[in-house]
Amino acid sequence: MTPASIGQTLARLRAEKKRAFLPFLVAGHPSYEESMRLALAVADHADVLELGLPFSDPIADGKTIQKASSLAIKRGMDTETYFGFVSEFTRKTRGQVPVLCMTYYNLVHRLGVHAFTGRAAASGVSGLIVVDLPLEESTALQRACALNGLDLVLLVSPSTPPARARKIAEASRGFVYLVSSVGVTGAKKKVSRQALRLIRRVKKTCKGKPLCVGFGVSNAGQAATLARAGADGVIVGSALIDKVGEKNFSASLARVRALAASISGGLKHV
Amino acid sequence: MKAKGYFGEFGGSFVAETLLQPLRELGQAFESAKRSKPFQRELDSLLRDYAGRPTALTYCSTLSRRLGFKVYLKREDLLHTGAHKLNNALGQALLARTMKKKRLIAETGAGQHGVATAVAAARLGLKAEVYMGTVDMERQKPNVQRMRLCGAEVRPVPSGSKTLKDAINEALRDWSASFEDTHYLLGSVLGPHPFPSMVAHFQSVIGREARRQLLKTEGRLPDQVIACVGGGSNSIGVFQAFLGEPSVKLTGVEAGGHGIRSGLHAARFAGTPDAGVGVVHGTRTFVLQDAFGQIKNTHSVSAGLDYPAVGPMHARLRADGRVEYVSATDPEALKAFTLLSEAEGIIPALESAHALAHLSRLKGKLKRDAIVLVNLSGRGDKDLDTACKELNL
Repeated sequence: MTPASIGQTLARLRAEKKRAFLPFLVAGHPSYEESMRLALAVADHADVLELGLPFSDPIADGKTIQKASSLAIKRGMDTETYFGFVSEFTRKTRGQVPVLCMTYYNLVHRLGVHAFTGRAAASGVSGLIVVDLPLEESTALQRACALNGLDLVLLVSPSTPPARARKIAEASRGFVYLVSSVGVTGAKKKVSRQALRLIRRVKKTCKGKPLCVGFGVSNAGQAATLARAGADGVIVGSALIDKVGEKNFSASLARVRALAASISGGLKHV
Repeated sequence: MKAKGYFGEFGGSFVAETLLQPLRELGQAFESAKRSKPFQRELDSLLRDYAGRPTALTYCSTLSRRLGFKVYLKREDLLHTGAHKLNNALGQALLARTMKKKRLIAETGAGQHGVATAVAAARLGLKAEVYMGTVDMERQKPNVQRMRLCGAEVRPVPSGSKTLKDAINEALRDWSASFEDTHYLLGSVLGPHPFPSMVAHFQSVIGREARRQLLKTEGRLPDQVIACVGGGSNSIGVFQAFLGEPSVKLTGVEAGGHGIRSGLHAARFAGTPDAGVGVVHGTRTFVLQDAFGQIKNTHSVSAGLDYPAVGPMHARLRADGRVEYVSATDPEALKAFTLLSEAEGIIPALESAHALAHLSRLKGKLKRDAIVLVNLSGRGDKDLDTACKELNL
C-alpha cells in the first residue's frame, strides 16, 4: 500500500487546526526487534515517524543519538536492513504513519542518489532529511526525490540569514524543519525566548508551508509552547531515546510510550 | 546555484545548516586577510621571529651516497614545536584574532597540530581547547603534556576509533554551538570550504622557501618531491610550488599500516573497493568506507596519518595525474625512521618516515645527479615510545 505523504498529512492536520507530533527514533536501537516495538508504540501517537538511518560519524548529533546510532550499527543496522525495517513498519501500521528517513549524506552518496531514493520509495519511505546536506549541495538529491515521490525536507537554523531562509523554505518539500537552537541534538531543559522569536520570523518566510521545530525539545510543556508560538509540528528525538535504558526493555517501552502520549496529548490542547 | 570550494568534483561544504553562515564569514575574513598588507606583515614576523622561518634545506651526504642520488630535506622538523603545523596554526590564530574570536578549538591526531594551536593561542592571548582521541593521547603523551603546559585544555575523545576522525567530529560539534566567540582551527587541508584552501595557503610557505633555497644551492629545480599524506597539509604545502613545473615528479605517501591486503591501513588511494569517493567531515573526497558508506576505522603506526579521508585537493591532483600516490607500511616507515637517525643524525616523525620509506625505494633507479626533495614534516621526539617499543630498543 502507498503510505500517506508528509505534506498531505500536515495539511490535513492544519485544516483540522491540529499540531503534528513527529517522534524521532534510531532504527535498530537498541536492537532491530526492540526498535520495531518502540516505533509501533510511538506510532499510536505520531503523525509522522522520523526514523534515523544511523551513520558512523553523526556530526550534528549529541551524545544520546551518537550512542544510539553506534549501538544500532554494532547490532547490524545498515541501509538494506533499514529499508526492510521501513517496509515492515508501514505494513504493520497500514501506511497510516508516514516515515521520514533522517540520515547523513555519505550513506545516500554511497548507493547513489537515484538508487537510494528509488529503494527508499519502494520500501515505503515518504520523505528524507539529510542533516549534512545544505541547500547548495542538494540539487541532485532534490531532483531524485521528486522523481521518486519523496519529500526532501530542508533545515533552517538560527544562524540562517533571512534571505537564505526564504530560499530554503521555497525548496523544502513536506515541511520546513526549524532547528530551534544552534549546536547539536539533545534534550534541553527549557525553550529559549530566541527560539520563539525565530519561529515567528521563519514562519513568515514559509509562505504557507508547514513549519516543524526540533532540536532540544524534551516534554509536553515545551512542545505546547513551541506550538503556541506558531509551530505546525514538533519533533522530539533525544528525550525519547533517553528513556531507553540498558536493561528491562519493557520498562523502557512503557516510558517511551508514556512520553509520546503526553507530548501528543499536550499538542492536542494548544 | 553553484556550490563553492570545489577542486574538480571534490570538495564542497557538506555541513549542517547551522555552520553555513559561520563558514561563509570565515571565508570572507580569509579573503580580506589574504589581501591585507598589515596582516601579512604580522604573520611574516611571527613566522620569522617566533616560529623560526625560513627552515633549513639540508643536503644529506651519507644518505645521498648510499642511495646513489642527491637527497635534500626541507626541515620543517626545525620549526618551533617540531612540525609544519605551526605555519597554519599561526595564520589561522591571527585570522581568529582579527575576527574578534576569543577561543580556539582544534582537533589533533599526533598532537602536533594541538601543540601548534596551544602555542599560537598562548602567543596571541587566546583560549585553546584541543580534542584528541584517547588512543592518540596514549601514544603521543609528550604532546598532551606540552599542550597542557601552554595552558590549553585537552579534551579526551573516547568515541568511535578514538583517533583523529573522532576528534574532528567533536570539534565540529563544539563549533556548531560556539561559533559566535570561537574559531575552529582545523589542522589540515580537510573539512568544508574554506578550510582546504585556507590551510593550503598558510602551508604554501614550505614549497616557496624550498624552491628558492634549492635554486640557490643547485641552480635548478628538483627532479622529484616526496611528502607523506595524512589529511595532506604538509604535502600540499610543498607540492604547490612545483605544480606548474611538469619536469618535477611529485609523490605523496599514504600510510600502508599492516599492508593494503590486511585491510588495516589508511591508504585512501589504494584502489580497493572500500576506498571510494564519499562525503565525510564536510568534504567530498576519497574515503575508506564499507559498502553502505559507514566510515571505516583505519590503522597506522603514525597517529598523524591514521585518518579515513584525504584532502579534496589531493583527490583532484590524483585524478589529473599530476601527483602519484603510493603507500608505505608500518615496518617500512620504522626502517626509514632508524635509517635517517643513523645516517644523518636526524630523528624524523613517524609520519615523515613514510616519505623517507618511499625515498629508499628509489635506490639504483635514478641518475647520480638527480635531485630528490623530501619534506621532513616533523621531528620524531614524540614517537620515541612507540618506535622504541616497535624496534625493541
